[in-house]
Formats: sequence, C-alpha cells, structure tokens
Amino acid sequence: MNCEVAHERIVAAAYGELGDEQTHELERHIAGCSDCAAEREQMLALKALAEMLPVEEPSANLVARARLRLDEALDALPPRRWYERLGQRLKNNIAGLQAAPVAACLLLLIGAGAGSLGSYQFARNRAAHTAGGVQTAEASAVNAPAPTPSAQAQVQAQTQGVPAEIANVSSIVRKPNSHLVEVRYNQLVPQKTEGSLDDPAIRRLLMMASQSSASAEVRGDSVALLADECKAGHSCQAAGIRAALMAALRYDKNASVREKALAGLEPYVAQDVRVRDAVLEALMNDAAPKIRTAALNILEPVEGDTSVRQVLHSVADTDENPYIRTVSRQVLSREPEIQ
Amino acid sequence: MVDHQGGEIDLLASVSDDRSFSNPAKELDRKVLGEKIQLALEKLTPRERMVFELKHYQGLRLRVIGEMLNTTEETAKNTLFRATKKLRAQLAELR
Repeated sequence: MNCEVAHERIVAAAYGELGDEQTHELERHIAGCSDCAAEREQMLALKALAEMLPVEEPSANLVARARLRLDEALDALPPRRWYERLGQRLKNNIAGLQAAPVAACLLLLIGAGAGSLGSYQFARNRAAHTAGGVQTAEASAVNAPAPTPSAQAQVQAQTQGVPAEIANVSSIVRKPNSHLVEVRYNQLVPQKTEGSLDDPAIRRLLMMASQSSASAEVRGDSVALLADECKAGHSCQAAGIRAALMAALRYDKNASVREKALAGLEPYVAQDVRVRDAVLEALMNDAAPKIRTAALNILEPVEGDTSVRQVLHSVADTDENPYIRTVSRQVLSREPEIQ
Repeated sequence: MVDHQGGEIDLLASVSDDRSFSNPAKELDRKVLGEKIQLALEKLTPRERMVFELKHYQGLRLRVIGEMLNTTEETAKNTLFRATKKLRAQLAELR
C-alpha cells in the first residue's frame, strides 16, 4: 500500500467508512510509516477542530412548518399526465424487475388465449359460409307435398346436399349484441313420387296439378287422368275429383283441358245437379264452340230438367254458332211433350 | 445555612457552572475558532462542502450521500478527501 492510498483511507477510517480488512492493512502501514501516522494525527485534529463549529439544529416547529408547506406545494403542482406517471414508474422499477417472469407468463397466457379465440371464430365463420351464409336455417319444404308412406308410393328426394331453391324467407331475428342472425326460410325441394292412380297421395297431386300448374300440358295430363278415373267409376267422389274437374271446366284457360274435364264429368250429368249446372254454364258461356257442342251432346239425356230446357232455348236463340243453334233446336223439338 | 462545624457554606460555589458564558475567555476562543472554520468551509466548492457537512455534521453514510447527490459512493469518498485536504490547508495556522 502506498502513502497516497493510505491518505485517502485515513479519511475514510476517520469517519468509520473503512472495512475491517482495509482498516487492518492501514494499521499495519501506519505502524511502519511515520509520514502517514502524522497524516492521521492531522486528520483527527481536523475532525476535533471541526467539532468546535456549533451546528444549529433547526427547531422542531420550523421543521414541521417546512414539511407542511412542502406538502402544500406538492399538492398544488398540476397532476401529471398518465404517460408521464407511467414513464416515471417504469424508470423507478427498471432496476427491480422481479415481476418480469410473472409478466412474461401473463403475456404468454394472453397470447395463447387470444390465438385460440381467433381461430375458433375463424373456423366458425368458415363453417357458416359453407352452410350457405346463414348461421341457423330451419328449412321446411312447402309446396312439395309431404309424401305419404304407402306400400306403392316410393318417394325419392333429390340427392342430399344439393342446395334447394329457396322459396321465401319467413322471419329474420337478430340476436341482441352479436352478429348472429336467425333466418327461417322455406325451400322448394324437387321430389318425385310413383304410385297407382288409386293412391290418395297421387290423386291429391293430380288434383293440385289440374288447378295450379303453370303448364297447360301438365294440367291437361292430370285432368285427362282424373277424367279417365271418373269414367271408369273408380271412387270419383263428389267432393274430390269431380270438384276438381268442374273447377277445370269452369276456369281453365286451355280449351283442351276444359274438354277433357267435360268428358270426365259426362257420367255424372244425369245424377249430380252441380255437375249439370257446370255443364250448362259451359254450354252458355264457353268461348270454344267445340266445348259448347260437347256440352250439348252430354246434356241430351237430361232434357227433362226445366233449367236444361231453358238453357237449350236460350242457346238455340242466341248462340253465335249456327250448328249449335240447330242442334239445340233439334234436341228441344225431339221432346215437345215435356215442355 | 450552617454546616456541622458552624461555618457558613456558599452553596452557589459548590454548583459547577459549565455553561459557555461562565468562561468568557474560552467562549471567545470558541467563537473565533468557529468563525475561522466557517470561513474555511466557505472556501470549498459547493459540492465538497455539501459532502463534508453531510458526513461530518449529519453523520450520513457515504453511500447515502452519493445517492442524494446522484453520484456513486466512490465519488463521494473522493470529494470528502479533497474537502478534508483543503480544510486542513486552510486551518493549518490554527494548530
């Protein structure tokens, strides 16, 4: 140890700032160095001398007042912005990052949670897209009548998975506070059924086709089939097929369909008044001479009915077709005794 | 008041008086010395004086002083060393 270092250490030792080991070294040095021993004497003398300066202790009252005013001054300072406070806090804590492992774990957990949530949403959106863009769909087939289970009827739905045409949307309900929408819609599912003409389901389909089909050919086919059934006398009830035939005769726009319906009604002209009325209406009002002629021929067996005779009279007088007028006169003259 | 031999006792004389003004000469010495120390202290740089006063009169640890002055303990120690050197030079004639 040289004397320069020793001089510094003497000062530190005088104020009790020297470690035990260094104090020991210093003692050994001073024991063999008169210069440094003198230095220590001077240092201790200075220390004793400096003690002579009286140190004024501030009165407790003054300290208290000073503290109070300091607190007030600090309170009066404008509050710092949050980022300033954050920066200060970060600066204060930068040395003591004991919480770093905990923070890292927290970040990891948050990241994992956000990731799984995001992928879950993504997967759900994709599933919804492939399902046709709506979250929930409760499809029910209307217009395509439900097939009745029957030994003869064999119903084949179109291949599953082919998106059916959407007939209409019946309701839309948005779930509150979300993007989910519940849409109820009806689908038109093309279906095919096979069965005997006696099958009630087939008959219902035929009757529906005779009235509502857009294609005259389909209407004609269905009416012809129903008329054949009636002619053959296969359970042609008044409420069912006969009504359908009468409706076709009255309202169908296509003359050939009306003609087929008229042919189907022929067996019932004599016994059913409503059929007779329908045929008479056709004779009076139908636009096609062909239909009026057919109706006239059908009515021949029931000339005895007064309403039939009245219609025949008016037709004989007013029909624009000379042939029909002639035939109706002939029919009337054939049975003059009834009047 | 009379003692057991009948002689009067001066009570005040038996009370030791160590108050400073009891010895005017000593008090004067003390005052002059104080002024000289004050003068020597004023010759120091503000930082040296701060370190010396905090160490000598307040008795704070050098590490604490370093923190208060935003420096290291080593710098505070060097500053204290310089301060004592200067003071000794200033006050050399007093001894």
